[in-house]
Amino acid sequence: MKQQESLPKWAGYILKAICPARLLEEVEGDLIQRFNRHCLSHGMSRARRKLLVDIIKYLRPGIFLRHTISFNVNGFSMLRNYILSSYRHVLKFKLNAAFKLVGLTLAVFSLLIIAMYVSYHLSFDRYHRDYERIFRVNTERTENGIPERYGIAPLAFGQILSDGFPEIESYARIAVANRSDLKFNGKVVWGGVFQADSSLFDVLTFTFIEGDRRALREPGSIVLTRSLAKKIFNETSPLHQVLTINNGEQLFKVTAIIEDMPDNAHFRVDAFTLLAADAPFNINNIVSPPEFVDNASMLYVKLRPLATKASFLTRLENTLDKSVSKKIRKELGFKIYLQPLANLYLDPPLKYEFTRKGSTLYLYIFSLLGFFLLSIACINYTNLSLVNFLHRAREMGVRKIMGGGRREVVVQIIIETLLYCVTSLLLSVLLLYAVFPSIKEVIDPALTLSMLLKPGPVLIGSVALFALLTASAILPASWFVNSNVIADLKGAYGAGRKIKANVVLLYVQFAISAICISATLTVGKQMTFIHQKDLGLDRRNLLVLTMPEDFTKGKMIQLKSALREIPEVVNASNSSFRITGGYWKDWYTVEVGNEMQSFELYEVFSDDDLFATLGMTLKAGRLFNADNRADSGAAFVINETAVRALGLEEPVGKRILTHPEDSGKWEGTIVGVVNDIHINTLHHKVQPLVMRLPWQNEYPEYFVYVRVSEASANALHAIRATYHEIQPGYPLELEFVDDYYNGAYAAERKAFTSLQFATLIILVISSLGIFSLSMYMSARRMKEFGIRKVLGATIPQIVFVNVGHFLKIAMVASAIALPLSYLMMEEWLGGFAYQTNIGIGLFVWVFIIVLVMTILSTGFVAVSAAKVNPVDAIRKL
Amino acid sequence: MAKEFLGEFEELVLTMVAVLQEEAYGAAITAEIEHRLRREVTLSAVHVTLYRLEDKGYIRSKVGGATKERGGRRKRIYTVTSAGLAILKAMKEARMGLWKLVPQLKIS
Repeated sequence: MKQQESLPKWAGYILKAICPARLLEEVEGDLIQRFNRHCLSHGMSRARRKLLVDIIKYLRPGIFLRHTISFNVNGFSMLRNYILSSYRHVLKFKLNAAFKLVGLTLAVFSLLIIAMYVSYHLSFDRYHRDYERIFRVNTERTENGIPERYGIAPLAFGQILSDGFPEIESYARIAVANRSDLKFNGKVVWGGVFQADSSLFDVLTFTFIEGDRRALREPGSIVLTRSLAKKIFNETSPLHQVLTINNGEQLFKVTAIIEDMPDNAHFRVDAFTLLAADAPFNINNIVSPPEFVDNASMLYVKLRPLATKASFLTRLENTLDKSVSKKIRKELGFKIYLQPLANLYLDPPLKYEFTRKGSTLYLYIFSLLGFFLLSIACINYTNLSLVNFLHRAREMGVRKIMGGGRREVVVQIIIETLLYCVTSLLLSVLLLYAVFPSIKEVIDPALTLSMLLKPGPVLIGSVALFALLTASAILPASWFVNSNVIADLKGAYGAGRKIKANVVLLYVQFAISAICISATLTVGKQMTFIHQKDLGLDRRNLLVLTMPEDFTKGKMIQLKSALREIPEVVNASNSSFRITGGYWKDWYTVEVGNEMQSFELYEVFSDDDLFATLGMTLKAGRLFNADNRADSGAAFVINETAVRALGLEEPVGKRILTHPEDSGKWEGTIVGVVNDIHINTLHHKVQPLVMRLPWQNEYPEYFVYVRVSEASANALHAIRATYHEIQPGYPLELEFVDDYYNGAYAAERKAFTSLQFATLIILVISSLGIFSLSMYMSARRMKEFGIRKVLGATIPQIVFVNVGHFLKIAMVASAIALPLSYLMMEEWLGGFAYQTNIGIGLFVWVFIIVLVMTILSTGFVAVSAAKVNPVDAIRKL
Repeated sequence: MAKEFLGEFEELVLTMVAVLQEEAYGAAITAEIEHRLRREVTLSAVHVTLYRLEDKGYIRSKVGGATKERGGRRKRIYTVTSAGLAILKAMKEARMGLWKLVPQLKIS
């Protein structure tokens, strides 16, 4: 058998990893010898197996503790030299250093903000103790064949769970109330009051200032947050004080004060009372939408450490069988599922979910922007390093001749890049500190500077910095390592060398710039579109006042007539909807063709002044008249979308009725058609709408719209005074519809501002790099330009040659980037029901902007290069 | 009895180094132990023991010749120092002394 001369490759690798170098030869030799002998005595395959065992047994302390750790002391003494030469270099090429630093600082600055933003949005609800084990019980129901997911579960589940489920540690239901007026000693303060089970504090984590987790055991107890308690009681001690809610009969005693809920909680609430409502679990409570919603609440469960979601759900389903059989539930499409607490904020919205919603889309956008900024900063740094290459080459040549090897060169480059990175980090933290208030306003008011020290941003930031460092150092290091020593010393590099890698980088840089520009333009266009879109109503000088729940019909009439007496007030009306979202929905039976058909229509209850107050136009028929008793409950006005949705050709005069069980009470005819108005944001389509007078005027609708001729302080003051006269002691909730409407696009506006800012930074950084690069290129081609000039080229021709090089790259890169950004923008616009079209004009604009940017950043250098006396240029080395 | 103490395997390897003289290197020692004592030993155990003995000063090593069988790698030849020989002797005598104290049972 032929003797083996070395170990198999894998064995060699393992051994090298384990064994100290000075022992390696002996060990290897012995292993080979032993292997060869085993081959003779036991055969090849057994010898191999024995070899493997032998090698693995080397993994013992007796061997690998014999590794000695040695420091290269030389590296340390050179450190000083590296820093010194970097410093001298900065002094010598101030502009280059400044450009590098500005680019890096802007990028790191933006990265820090993005890191804070992203980690803040990912931190939601993670402050609850054992949040991994807490879930919300959600339900799914099939309505008109479409499965609808709800963030609420039947109230009856509370009773069912209280029978003792081995899988759960605790559970709590939370029911949401509307805005509440808390009254104490004749003073009224608003607050969000939720009803909850007494076990709430065992499931979710709250910090008690006074009282403890047993606070909600007694009926009639109320737990307040610190800020609400301060608003109601000022300095008096709130504990054991008694207050009423919404002018009700029941008295509530304050039993505990909790700390305000943190910013990263998925719901915000000011007070909790004990949840008293309960309902049986029966088929009625899941089959009809209103009854389902009325008898449901949010339900949180905390599972035991080893319990699984599946085993809990199975037990719950089995228990439900006692009330409503599995078969029926399946027919109704009624399902139960658990949603982890930490996902509530970022998951897509559910019906009746009283949760603050974040958007993963904007998280992705911000992360992508961060990545773009990082890439641009790296490319810029690399470009600027190339510009310097020539000057550094001599230094590197000398270093290499004096014995500097690969390692030393790489270490030097890394140390220099590290110095730049650290400096820019310090500068950007300072910058952040200086401009933080405006950043907060633009991005998210919940951000705080102390977030920079939290593990999330530190992790994201350090990963990004490491990536920045590596990516920026890698190309310069490879040039310096691979360059020829002689050529280094002569400083003799042709113009073409080194440029190739940079051309690729330039393409990337231009492409990123083009994507950002087109995104900014598209978002900007959509924002303008939103602002200018005709909503079907005049939203300027329109106020909306929200009345408290105990506001009576008499007071409403009084208020409206008093308001009309104010000279600035043109008109006033009360109605059941609130602009930017929220109207009722019900089933209507309408005469279509010659038969009655059922439709689910949105409904608005209002007085007859609403049309004039909002500025709506009548398209056909007439409006209802509140003074005409026959119109109450019998005259219906629909919008144009409803005409289309119902498929009516001659809508006026058609029969329409609702709630047939009240036979004849809500029956009448369609008397008129009005134009579509956008009550919701433009994310949603206009819905088919029925407008009618309020329910027999039993109680008034709480939203009062007031049209003023001008929004002067005088007018507002007069409106407030009128209200306080009628409803003394209550604060007035008054807002401009315009503000309200614009406020509904806060996420988009923030994204737009951030995008504008990021695009600006990206353009600035790119321009710096391109400027320096063009300077370098024209210096390299000076002789060429001289010869061209001697042979008769004009200055514009030479400028064109110089600028053209960059223009070509810019145009090609933009052409590649545009389809990509088109797809991205389509995706974003898809979130709007009404969207601007992207159009060819946008692409033209992107090209123009990139063109201008390129010409601006290269033109100056190109012109000055073209003006040089050709004799000087040619004579030069 | 010397202050130093040798483990059973250490004593065995030390003895083998003394026995094999100029041929005392890792693979040979392992092979000899396997051959003479019919005992499975791994190379790594022998190497670790050799290094430990060298640290204690009972053996010293020098680099020896290479053979084709070893793929051209040089051997490391170990020789016993006088301290090593002394402890071997001391241990042997201590053991003999103890052995003498064992009552000599006769089997009839």
